[in-house]
Amino acid sequence: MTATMLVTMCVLFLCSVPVAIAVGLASVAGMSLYTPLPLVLVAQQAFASLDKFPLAAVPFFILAGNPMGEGGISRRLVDFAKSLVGGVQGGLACTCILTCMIFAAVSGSSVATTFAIGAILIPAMVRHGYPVSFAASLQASAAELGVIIPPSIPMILYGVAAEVSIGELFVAGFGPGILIAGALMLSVWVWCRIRGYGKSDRDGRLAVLPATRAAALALMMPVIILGGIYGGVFTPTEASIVAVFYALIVSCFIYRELDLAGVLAILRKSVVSSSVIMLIIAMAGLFSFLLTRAGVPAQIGAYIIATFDSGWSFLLAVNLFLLVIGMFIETSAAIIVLAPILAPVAISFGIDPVHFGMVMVVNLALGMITPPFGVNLFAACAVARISLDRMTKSLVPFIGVVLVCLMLITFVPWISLALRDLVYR
Amino acid sequence: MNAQPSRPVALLLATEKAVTGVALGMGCFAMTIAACAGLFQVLTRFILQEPATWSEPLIRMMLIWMAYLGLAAAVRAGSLVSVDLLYRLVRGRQRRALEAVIALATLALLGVLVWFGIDLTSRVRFQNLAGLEIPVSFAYAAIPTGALISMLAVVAHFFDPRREELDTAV
Repeated sequence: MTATMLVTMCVLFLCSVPVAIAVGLASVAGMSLYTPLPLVLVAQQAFASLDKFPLAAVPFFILAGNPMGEGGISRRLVDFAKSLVGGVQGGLACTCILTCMIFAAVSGSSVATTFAIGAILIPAMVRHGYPVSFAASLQASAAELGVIIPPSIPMILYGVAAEVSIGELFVAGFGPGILIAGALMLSVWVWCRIRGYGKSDRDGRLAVLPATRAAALALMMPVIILGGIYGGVFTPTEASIVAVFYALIVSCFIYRELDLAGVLAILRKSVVSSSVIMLIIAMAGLFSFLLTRAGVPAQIGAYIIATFDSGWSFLLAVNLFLLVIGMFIETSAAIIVLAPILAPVAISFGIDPVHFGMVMVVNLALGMITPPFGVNLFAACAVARISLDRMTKSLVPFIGVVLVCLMLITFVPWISLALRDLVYR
Repeated sequence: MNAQPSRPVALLLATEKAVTGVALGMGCFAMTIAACAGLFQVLTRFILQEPATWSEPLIRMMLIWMAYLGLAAAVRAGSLVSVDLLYRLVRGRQRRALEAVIALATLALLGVLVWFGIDLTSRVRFQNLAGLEIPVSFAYAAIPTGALISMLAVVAHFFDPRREELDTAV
């Protein structure tokens, strides 16, 4: 049954059938050919996979992130980041990374980050003499932080699929996020010195204090979300709802960036985005249910435990496997199907499931910038108006930097767990 | 490709546009209700020290309706994420054939969801949704309803393809 399902799924993927549809049809095929289960279970799972309160945070974080992408607020965040790190040669490139990091803390999505920040900084970098391919690659890579720094939609999905606390995952995301942001900033700073990019980046930079004041309300949003979760005031789902209202009030009434038509447009866009991702969740949930019922996770688990003699080699193998998966398959589907299979194995090797979650999320986030398929790449191409082929070469150093960080995150659990232990233990 | 759609196609597209528009509007409404119920839940816990029992099931139900009602608009705009390597490679008549395969595959899955969604909805009509005391079928009905509307959107998308995947990608 498993083989049929996998083959059907891959054939449908090859025919460019949408991921959710391919996964759903593969499940239907496996179910009707090999099991006595009634097909009514398809509808039942399509419902049950979504009928979980923690998942409600997904559409709400999508909705809360969208007003933040409107011109005025993202420009304020850019000005703030520029006031902090824009003073050096290559400052504009560093600004891009820092802004993505801040934006990541209000948005759970990396494509939204690419559009919001890239729309401002890619043209600005090109004006300051950076090659457009470099600017686009940098933007795509930095936007990855969107899913690593909390709130993060893939982390919510991992938490639901592997039954791990979403609060713990969120707090664990800071270490890896700061590591990757720091490593990217250091490497572009060095790279800009070597290549002589960005010598006039200091122009038009605000002083720290006024820039902070202008961006203060937007900067408060992560404080409210994360403070609320860790202060025990609300659950991650409730935090996402509070974030929605905070974002709307700030952008409608205080910054006056949004009118009613704008709110409705954001609502429509968020509903469509949520539908897309929730159909994937529903169909991947059905797929995963069938695998679990056939005992596949236990078989794979037993095989992995028999094959790898240590957690170390297991993690290395998982990383290689996920890198390949991430190149082709959409992150949410990969997490929902693979997390319930791999997380128990990781636990049996003595790996903390929160740490393992970081490895999965960071690895699959890397998949967003590895060709041939990467949503961030497509988004950055669209913003920079260049073709993917032109980006490929300039992407290599960035992928290299993130890969090194991924290895550090994988083999130094402290990076993910230090802050978690501080907050939760 | 379809510069001058024939009359039945034009009629189909117009119908679909209206239906999908209404569905998306209702999806937005469902999301608004869910958000307000969530805010209410947080507020009641702080002010009354006693959270409402109905808000959580209401949020879950509204978001499921939102997901399936918004699906038609997602299908129509070509927003469903795909590994579109082959699609980018082929041109002309071959691309048209590929689009037909994709449309048929999507219709097949949606058909299963409509048919068995109706079956499921009628099976559970005597159960009540815990916390809300309304029949659970009110929630389950989202699946066949949304899938049926989306089937229309698939056909419309086939005759008038759009690719706005990135506008709503997450």
